[in-house]
Amino acid sequence: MKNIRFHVNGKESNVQCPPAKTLLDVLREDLELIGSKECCGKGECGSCSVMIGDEVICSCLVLAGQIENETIITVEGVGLRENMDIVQEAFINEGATQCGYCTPGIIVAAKSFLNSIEHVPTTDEVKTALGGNLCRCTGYQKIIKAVQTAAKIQNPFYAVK
Amino acid sequence: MSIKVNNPIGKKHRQETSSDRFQWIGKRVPRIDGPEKVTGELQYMTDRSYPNMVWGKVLRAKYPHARITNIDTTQAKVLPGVICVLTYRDIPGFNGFGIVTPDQPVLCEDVVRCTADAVALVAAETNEIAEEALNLIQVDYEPLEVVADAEYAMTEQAPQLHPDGNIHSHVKINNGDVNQAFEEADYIFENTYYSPRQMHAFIETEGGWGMLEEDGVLTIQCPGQYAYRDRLQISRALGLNPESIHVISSPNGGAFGGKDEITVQIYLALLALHSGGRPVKIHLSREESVQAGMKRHPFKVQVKTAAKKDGTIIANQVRAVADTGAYASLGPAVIALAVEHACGPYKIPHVDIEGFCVYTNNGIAGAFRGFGVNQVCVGIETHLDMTAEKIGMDPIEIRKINAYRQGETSSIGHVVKSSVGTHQTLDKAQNCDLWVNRASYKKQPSEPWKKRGVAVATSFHGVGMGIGTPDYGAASIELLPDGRLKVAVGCEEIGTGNGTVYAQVCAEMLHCDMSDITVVQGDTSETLDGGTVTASRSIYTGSKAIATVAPQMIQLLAETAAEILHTPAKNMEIENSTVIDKKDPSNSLTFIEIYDYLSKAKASTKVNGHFYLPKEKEEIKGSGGAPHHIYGYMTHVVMVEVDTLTGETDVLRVVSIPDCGRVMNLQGLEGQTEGGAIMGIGYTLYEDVAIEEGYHKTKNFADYIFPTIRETPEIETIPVEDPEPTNPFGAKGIGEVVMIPIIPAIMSAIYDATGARVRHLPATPERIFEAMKPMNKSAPISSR
Amino acid sequence: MKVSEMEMISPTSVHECLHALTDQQKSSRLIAGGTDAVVRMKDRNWMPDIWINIKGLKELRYIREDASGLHIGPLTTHTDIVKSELLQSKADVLTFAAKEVGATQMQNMGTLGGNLGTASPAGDTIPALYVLDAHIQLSSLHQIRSVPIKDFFIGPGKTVIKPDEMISDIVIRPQEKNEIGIFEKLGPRKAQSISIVNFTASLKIKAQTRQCIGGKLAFGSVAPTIIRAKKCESMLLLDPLDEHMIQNIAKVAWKEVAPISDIRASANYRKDMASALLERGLYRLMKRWENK
Repeated sequence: MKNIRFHVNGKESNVQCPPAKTLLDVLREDLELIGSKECCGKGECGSCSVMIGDEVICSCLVLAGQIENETIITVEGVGLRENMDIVQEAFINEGATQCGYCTPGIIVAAKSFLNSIEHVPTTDEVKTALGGNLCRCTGYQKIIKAVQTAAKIQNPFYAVK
Repeated sequence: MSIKVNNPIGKKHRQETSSDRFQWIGKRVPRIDGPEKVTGELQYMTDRSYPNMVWGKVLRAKYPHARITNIDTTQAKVLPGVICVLTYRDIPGFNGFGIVTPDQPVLCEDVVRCTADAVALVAAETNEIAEEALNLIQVDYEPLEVVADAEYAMTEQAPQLHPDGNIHSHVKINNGDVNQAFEEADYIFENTYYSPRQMHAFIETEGGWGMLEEDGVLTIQCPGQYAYRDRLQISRALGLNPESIHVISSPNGGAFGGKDEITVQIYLALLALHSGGRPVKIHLSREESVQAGMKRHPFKVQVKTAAKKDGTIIANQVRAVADTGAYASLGPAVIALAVEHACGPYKIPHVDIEGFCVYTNNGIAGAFRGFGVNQVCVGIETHLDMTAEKIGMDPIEIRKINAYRQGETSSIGHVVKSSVGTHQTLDKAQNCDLWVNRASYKKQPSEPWKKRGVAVATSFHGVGMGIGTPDYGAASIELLPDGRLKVAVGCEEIGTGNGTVYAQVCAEMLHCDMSDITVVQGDTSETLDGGTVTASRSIYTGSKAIATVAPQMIQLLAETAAEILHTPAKNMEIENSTVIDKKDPSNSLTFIEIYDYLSKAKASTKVNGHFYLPKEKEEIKGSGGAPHHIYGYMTHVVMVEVDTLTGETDVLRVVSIPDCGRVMNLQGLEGQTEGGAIMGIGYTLYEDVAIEEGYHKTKNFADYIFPTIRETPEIETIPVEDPEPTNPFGAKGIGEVVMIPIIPAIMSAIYDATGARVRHLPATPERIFEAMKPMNKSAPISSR
Repeated sequence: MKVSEMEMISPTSVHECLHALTDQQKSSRLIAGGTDAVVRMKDRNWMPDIWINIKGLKELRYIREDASGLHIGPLTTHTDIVKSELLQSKADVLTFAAKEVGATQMQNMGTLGGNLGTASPAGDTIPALYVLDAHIQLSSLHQIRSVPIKDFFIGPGKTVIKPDEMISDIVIRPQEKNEIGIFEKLGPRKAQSISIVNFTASLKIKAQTRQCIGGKLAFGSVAPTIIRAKKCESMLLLDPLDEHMIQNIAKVAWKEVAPISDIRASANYRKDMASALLERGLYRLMKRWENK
């Protein structure tokens, strides 16, 4: 057992757990942040995506002992129903979620991507950014559209590439 | 009573295809569960937790075919932290499950027939202890010969896997005289096609909770596709009154048919009976899901087609062999539907179709979106294209010549009375940009050694159950204390957005805002038995069920208001969650006031409605359930680009043209056509669960290849509305057909691009490369 | 060993880390990005008593140039490589390869040192290290040694790293002004895929011509380790690289590889693809050269 201190969604967290427990399990079991999902457990699907700092990673392959002092943002930190982020609203309006199980991971990956650019992304750019997030329902087209819509709304002065 | 309701049932409506007269139906309405899904706030059942929970695990068979000589659980039982270890001896009821034939043991006793078989269950304080306990269970096996091939399984020398032999079902449809037709034919095409063992690959693996409540009710929370049938299967295995079992089966993190059969519900139930009242959770790892979950039946399909010079197909002979794996599940129904659809939506006068559902030791196959039609559509569509090429006819024209219209006789010999949209979809295909300008698009490959091809295919898919399986719908509407309405439909939310359509229909019928509707799905204590969420049926049945019950709610509201206001009920009108006296509009009551009155009077505020689905009267003898009454139709146009150096193939554009009867929600419809297109692309180009000698070579998502966002083409949806007379809004179902014609369309587009035909799916780069070898001269790269 | 009983230490310096590696009392494993280590732990293949977490060792995450070459710290992530302007201009092949590893998440997590340690014959970044003549610096408490990349791998999953050693630096030669590279990957799909075959080339070309004056070619996933295609390399110099010449070289490529059949492809297809990727790669490379 190890005491691990880190920041999640703007709050300081203290967790007592085995250091080889995955970050995903810590989030889901110790912090009851169930938005991040386990689907493949091996870094293939992106359902467990969270941000460490600015970068999106698979929380199923990070161990609790490795996150001391890190700053983590999960889907809940991107926005909840009362304070939804633009990207979340775009996903609803464009119909980019179906069964929804992959959606939290995709929202996090999309948010991290949008934070890193200052233009409306091309389809190819969105495809590259979200290549690590598998979805079995939507066919992805509406996800691409939602990310582009979010970029446009986020900054109407953004150039369309 | 003459209450003015927006009751759309009526002949006039059937002629209309515009959604303008509706406030909600046909509109592009965002999903009602969108906000909780995009924020991660929605609790799927596998997300729940309970303070005193225990973890359940399943011990799977070590061999694909072996005799069990002994099971010793002593060591596992004494491991600290273990709550219980269960084997077949602990099953109080019938040790078996299976939707049609319950031939799959819950826990194997004397023999294992595939590595998906369960042998023992463990519940423990932690997941890790449960895992350790599995390793301590000693099972002694005597390995038996593995039946790895369906054709071999049908021979006499193969070991018999079940008492009735390895051929579990054999279905046939014969019409006319194929031999005569083959003699009269101008052209005959004969080929064998192989299809992959596709995996559903839902993102939420199988899992859930079992708990024995203090009042003795056994609650099973587990994503499924038919709570009432799951409940019956659990009750049979437990020897328990089904009324004492409460099944919650919605929401699902994806299903596609893969959660139609029992997944872990019975395991959860058994463990819950032995955990001292503590809730038990099972959630399969992806690896266990790959090994234990149902897959799509791999088929070998031999097709012989006879055509005349004028493009008419005069005969089609099909022999389809389906590998159903170790247990039946829905195998017989899959093969029956395959046989029903094997000749396409055409009027071929002479057909001879037979299908075999065959046991092997290759895991288990069951229901999967498309349900047998994916496998058989390829033969007839390819042979139509081959005929068209031979006689120099346009691929769309040849389909128009052969496709039946409403009132005509289909290939399987029945007069099609329901809506048929094939011709309209083909017209749209003929006029779409991709088809009109295909010659020009084909001239613009992205690199000199790449080649583009454009092709079209059409298909169809039955809606609802065939003859022999009762099919009904049901819904209830309840007035809530806050004046909102709760509509309850059995069909689960598996991602399709059917719940949003239910809210649209309820709001439409009861003249209220969609935000005043709460939808409940998939819960035996909240919803009536309204059948499965399978067979492309949930929009058709759910909307019809709500339309059936809505007038009763209107009546309840109007009569109650009339009673309170001392006005005749016939004067009452409903507008914006208020009942108004149309003679004196100041005289009105809100739904809340009506609820209060009913509640004080201890009267029910809930109404129920039921209906039976229309059926054909006569079954085609030996067909296993054909024909269906209603079919959805669909045409796809696709463009591919093949790298002639490697065989890599990209699908660049897809035009999806579904005949959905009536568009209920355009956004939801596009969700289906787009998702279906990608799943069809996956089936055709990428996906296969490799099993060798009964062992899975494909283990998880690292080696099960299905499309990522980078494989997504540009997809355009052009809906056709040919209203179905038996649905109050004209709706049909398209959940499955959306992934079907794209399969042969891609295969033909590869041929159009390269001249190579691949008949063994998935058409991997290697298979395409091999098929291209005879054509690949050693020309320089820029002039290939 | 149970996962719940594993310990973890997070050394704050390389020296401290080497001390931990030298301790033979308990079994230990290094963990950085976790993309491989945690997968192996979940598969019960790596069950050390102690994880030595080096993820936070900032002194091992750098990209810089000095007289001896380009230095890349072992904890440099694929994303670091992709974004590095230095590498884009002086080791373009490595940035192209890093871009094709998995997808965003794996590129953010996975490190170059981890890639080397995993020693997968299908590793996407390794062929680039071959054509850039990488030397791998291995440190232990007692010595530092430098191993040329061609001697670093013993076989699939096996390297010359000793239990008390760790990779402490990766040195590559900078590409010259007239040098241009390419990475070609054939996977089962575009993202999140393991190479069926991959091919890397870095060619020096005489200005304003198509005459190659020196080049290195390497293949992945067609032998127990990455291999150089030396016969093809010698052919590069014979004639200007027009389409016919490229095709002639490609025809030789299959003879330089020794692939096996597995679930992803047959050995014969892999041989054919060695030729195909070389042909496609050199064609694309020359096209870029002409547009430069």
